[in-house]
Amino acid sequence: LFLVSFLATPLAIYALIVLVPLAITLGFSITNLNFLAPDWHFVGLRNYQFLANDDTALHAYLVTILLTIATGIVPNIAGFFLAVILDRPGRAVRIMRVLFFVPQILSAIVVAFIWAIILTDDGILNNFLRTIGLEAIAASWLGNATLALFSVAAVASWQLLGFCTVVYLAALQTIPRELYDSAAMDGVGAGSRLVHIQWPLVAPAFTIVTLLLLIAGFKMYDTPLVLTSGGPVDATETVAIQILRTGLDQNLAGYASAKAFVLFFIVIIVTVVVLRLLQRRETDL
Amino acid sequence: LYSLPVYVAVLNVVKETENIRRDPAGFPSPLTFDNLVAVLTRPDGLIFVGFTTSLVTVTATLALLVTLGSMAGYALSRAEGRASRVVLVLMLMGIMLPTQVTLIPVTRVLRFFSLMNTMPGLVLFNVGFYMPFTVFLFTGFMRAIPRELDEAAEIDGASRLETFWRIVFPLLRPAVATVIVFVGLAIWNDFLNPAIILGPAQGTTITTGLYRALGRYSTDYGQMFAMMFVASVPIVLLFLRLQRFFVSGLTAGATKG
Repeated sequence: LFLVSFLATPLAIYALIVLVPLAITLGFSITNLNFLAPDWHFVGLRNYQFLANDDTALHAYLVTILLTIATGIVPNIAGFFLAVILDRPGRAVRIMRVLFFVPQILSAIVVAFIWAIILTDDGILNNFLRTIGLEAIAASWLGNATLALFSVAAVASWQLLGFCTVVYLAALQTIPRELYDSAAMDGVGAGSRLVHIQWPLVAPAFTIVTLLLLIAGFKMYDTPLVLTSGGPVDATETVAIQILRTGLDQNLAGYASAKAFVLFFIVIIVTVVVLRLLQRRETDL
Repeated sequence: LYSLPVYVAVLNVVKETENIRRDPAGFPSPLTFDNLVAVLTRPDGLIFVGFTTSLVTVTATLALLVTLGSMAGYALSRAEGRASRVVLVLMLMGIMLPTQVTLIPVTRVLRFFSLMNTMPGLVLFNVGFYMPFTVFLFTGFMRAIPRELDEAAEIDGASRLETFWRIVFPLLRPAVATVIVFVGLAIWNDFLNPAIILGPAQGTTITTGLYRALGRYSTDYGQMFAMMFVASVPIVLLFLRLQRFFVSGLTAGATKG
């Protein structure tokens, strides 16, 4: 009985805010609901069929997946190496850790605004390249479709790097120093220490970091919104941005809900599969 | 090189807009505080409204989350059986859920309770949305607290509620700190949810206000940087103080997932 009484309120709020809306999303997705039109009816799976043939929508999924892969790998690996470098005592190292961590604390909005000023056509980066005579490299970092996608991925990775580093650092610091000492006595170099001791022993951290990066990647919204507002044209429009545009700007709640539900479905499948794989890997190592 | 963008941003807070255009990375001379003053004395008081809204939202959300989340966590950590497992699986779904998936229905639900465009509405949303993370953290943490402690308290005649509040809750300090840092940061920096739930008319959080203001006069670099600086400094300072809880909580909480 006490279980029920302790759980009732939190569960009720959770249900109201998460579970009920999720069910509504699923329900909306089989209707042609449009907030401007008073009458609506069930259309079965027509929204999903339409989605499968909607190039703009499919492109948004592709963009989201590409960005998720990039931000799932780049800061992850870079963060690990950075943590290995920073895993030593000393004042300078402590200051470096803080410096690397600051972008992670800042709002994605702030980070993206800073980078927008750097990357725009007459922004800091291009001006700098021109003054040092490298005008040939100066480019439209946010205006060219391919470059813009790279820029969004780079800015997001830049912000996430601090987070990855901190988690790996915490994991590395649990490794007993005696292990390094005895390895050194056996003539193990830094390279094989990295491969055979440090990498396997941070496997649980790798699992956590990868999962959180994946979840963050799939819902990426603020960074592309501020940097490019999804453009040029729709080169960096993620599903998260598109759902709200379809649902709130075009008022197509039914269709937006179908897009949303497909996104959620992808997140769940990918997360569960990756979690299984990584956990099996943990026990193998 | 990595920190260069942040360094440039901070430098430009005290630089004249003219000079930012000419030499964005250079050292500021003459030094000026005009940007900061201009931002703080904006006629619409954006910074103060934003600060108050953000602060109230974060505080109210955290108070409710810690109370409710720890109680739920206590119940789940002490219960065996299928019911509690079902609850945990339902919660796990919530951790993976991107906000955008349910945001449109959320506006409907809140409107139904007349909470749309109000601060209580935003707080309620935050409490619900961050409940899974909080509950997971507390459940994992309390599994490590020996059950014998509860039983001893019960023999001494304490009720379940008393046991929880007077014996178990005081032991949860590190977990509470983690929730405060983690969720507090997320809510302070959140842009989309307050933008939609509060709407344009009903005040604004600091992050949402920042987005709107920056869009509007994006030529005055000096003021842009000053505004970002003012909005970020408190959270960065708070965070650097509580950094260790972030790490410990993250590793402890996340391994349970």
